[in-house]
Amino acid sequence: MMLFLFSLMLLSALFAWRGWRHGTLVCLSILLILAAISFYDDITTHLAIAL
Amino acid sequence: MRTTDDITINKIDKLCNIFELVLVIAILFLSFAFQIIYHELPCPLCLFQRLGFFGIALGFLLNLRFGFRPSHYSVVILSALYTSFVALRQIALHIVPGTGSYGDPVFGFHLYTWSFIIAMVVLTTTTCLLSVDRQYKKSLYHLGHYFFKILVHGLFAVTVLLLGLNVISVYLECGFKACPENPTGYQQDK
Repeated sequence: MMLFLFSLMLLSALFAWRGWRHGTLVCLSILLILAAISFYDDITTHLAIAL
Repeated sequence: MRTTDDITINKIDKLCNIFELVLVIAILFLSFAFQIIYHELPCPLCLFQRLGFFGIALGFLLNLRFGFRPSHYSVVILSALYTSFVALRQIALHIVPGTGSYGDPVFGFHLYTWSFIIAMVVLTTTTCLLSVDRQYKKSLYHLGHYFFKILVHGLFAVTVLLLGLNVISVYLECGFKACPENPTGYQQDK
């Protein structure tokens, strides 16, 4: 998952560099949602272990 | 119709954006240098923070490449919020005395504490920058010297290079699986 997130960030940076603004913003939106889900998943896993 | 005031505000905004971008790139470069020189492998939460900093850098780069827009600032603010949440979570993990820490301290604070402080600074300054209405004038969009364009492309090149190195490092550390909680070595070496 982490590799996918970093690859998506690289892709959006390349889109921005080449001048495709909308592609960059869409890519970044997907990335932020996926990163938030991964972080939430990390918290809930730790909480489940703690409880 | 653009006035001298508009042009001055545009220049100040560009300078502020470049300053914040260089700060974030320096942080990302230092964290990668720490990983290589001191063999301090990043934990999953550290990688999430790096991802947030790359998001901040990309927001500023969008501003410099396509002109100032509220949507670009929102990318910066959302990424800074995300970074601060992750950093706060990592601080909370080690806040109880005796629970240890992750990595060595730098200037008295651990890297995740610095990460939280810097995310908060970026959040505050970006919110102030966002509120300057005059920067969104379309007549100021193509304002820029040849040197400025070279600088923006240079900053893009550095960011993409750092991102590429991070992708390789994540592949070596985690592969296609979930990253280990306390990494001791690169998975691909084993």
